[in-house]
Amino acid sequence: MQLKKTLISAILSGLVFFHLPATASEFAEFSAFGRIVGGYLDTDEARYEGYDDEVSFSQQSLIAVQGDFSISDTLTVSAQLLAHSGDERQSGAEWLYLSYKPNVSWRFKAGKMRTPFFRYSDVIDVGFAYPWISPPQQVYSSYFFSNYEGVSSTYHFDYKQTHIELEAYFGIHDDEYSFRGRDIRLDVEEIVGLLATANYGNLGFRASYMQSSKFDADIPEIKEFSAILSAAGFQDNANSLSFDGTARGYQLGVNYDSLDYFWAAEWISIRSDVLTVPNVDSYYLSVGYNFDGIQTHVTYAGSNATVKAAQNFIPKGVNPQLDALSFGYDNFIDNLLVDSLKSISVGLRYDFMHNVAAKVEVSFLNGEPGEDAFFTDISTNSFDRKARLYQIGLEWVY
Amino acid sequence: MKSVTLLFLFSIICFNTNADDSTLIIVANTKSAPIDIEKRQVRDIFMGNNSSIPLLPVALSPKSPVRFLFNTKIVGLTESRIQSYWAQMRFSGRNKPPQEFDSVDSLLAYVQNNEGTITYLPSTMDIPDGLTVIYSTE
Repeated sequence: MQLKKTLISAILSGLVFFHLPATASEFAEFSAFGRIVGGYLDTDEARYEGYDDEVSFSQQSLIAVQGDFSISDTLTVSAQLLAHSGDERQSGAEWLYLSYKPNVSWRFKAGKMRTPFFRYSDVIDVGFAYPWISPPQQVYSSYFFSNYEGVSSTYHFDYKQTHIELEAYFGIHDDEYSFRGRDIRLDVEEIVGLLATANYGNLGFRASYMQSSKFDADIPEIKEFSAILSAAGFQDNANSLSFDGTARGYQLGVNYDSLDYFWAAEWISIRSDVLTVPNVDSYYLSVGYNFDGIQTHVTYAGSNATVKAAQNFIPKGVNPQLDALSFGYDNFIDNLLVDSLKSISVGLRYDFMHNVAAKVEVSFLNGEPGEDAFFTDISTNSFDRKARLYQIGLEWVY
Repeated sequence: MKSVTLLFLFSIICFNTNADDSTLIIVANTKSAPIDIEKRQVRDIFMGNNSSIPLLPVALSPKSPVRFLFNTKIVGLTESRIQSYWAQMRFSGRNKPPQEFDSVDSLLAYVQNNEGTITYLPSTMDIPDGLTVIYSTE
């Protein structure tokens, strides 16, 4: 509650703040962004992105300040501090890194950075940067570690009239989360990513690959159940719940913008050899038209998640204790998070100042019955995984 | 958007004494200016998407009608989309927008005093010695 109050006052002071003239000197440059987002979900049977059937402004509202400090012509230190209103997001330093740019072609960074898996992953909090209020969850919630500590290198070059940027990054991630009501500690010892973008005029392509291995998620209920299985002598079943493995993510994207219209699409695929991390294929296609300063969009998004087949070695029908354990294992597998959801969103954006935009958006959600489908706190079994999310937002940069 | 653009161009033609106001020239302060620069290269320089032409772009502020012409004729994007793009670049630590000036006079003065810079100006302006016109929208 105290955090919420602090945040609200931060946002209010931020509103005042962006009227002030820009603060820039040779040494330090400050910028900021923020958003106030309100939403309402038209069902009392579940939540989606934290929203339920009461209007809430404290799920996605946030404010952030960025400072870029030049040490020399080639060295810069950057920090981005964020205060977030959502329960599942922590406030604090999202970026903190040293950047070295020896020439126009190369850039190296070291420190804490956002992971650039998808087109908007590293600016997911900067609502001003994209047309939606809520970026398609099917794609943008597919990796829940949003930052890494490590190094990255970027190389730019022109091939004929195409501008190409190649980036490689390497790092680790260790953080605590509240994820869908559970407290989780996630420790990834190896994150390797490659990313290529190509821009030809206003046409852009993007491809990325990400591999995370040696990860460990400390989810108490899974650890405890695994220990019980192990103590009962079913080591294979116990091992199947371990997070020790590798997950790989693939992304392809294309976008085109013009004065009158735009379209953009992204497709992602996640493959893991860990039972508790499902395979996911997701995509979205967004098209929009600019009517006299009002940008519209229609976005169709889908995801298909599948849990890998688990082998249950615990016999049934031997004795009641083993039956309980065996059915318990089956039940655990059945209850793994699986998110298959199709959605259509329709939204408007109006930039009434060059750095302030107002948005409205309606999302029609159609989840796979029997799965979580990105819904949380599902209160009735009969919930058909269909709902509408209504949102309004104010986005600004400074 | 198209109707706004047309209206804007129309108003420029009607209310300005000189119809050439809608023509933009790209001016550089360089002794080795490329002589056959293309429109797409101009766009790429100002959008931070060019690694081969070593010129530093400087621009006008978003309220400027000359900037509006540049967005329309060269970049091919709305101001809203350009601002979104720079927000993405800035807050992901990738790039920063060109330095901006409120008037063409202060812009011109800056370009004159800084070698290696490039900017856009109305074709009706007198271009001082030392600056080279490297592209015109006409």
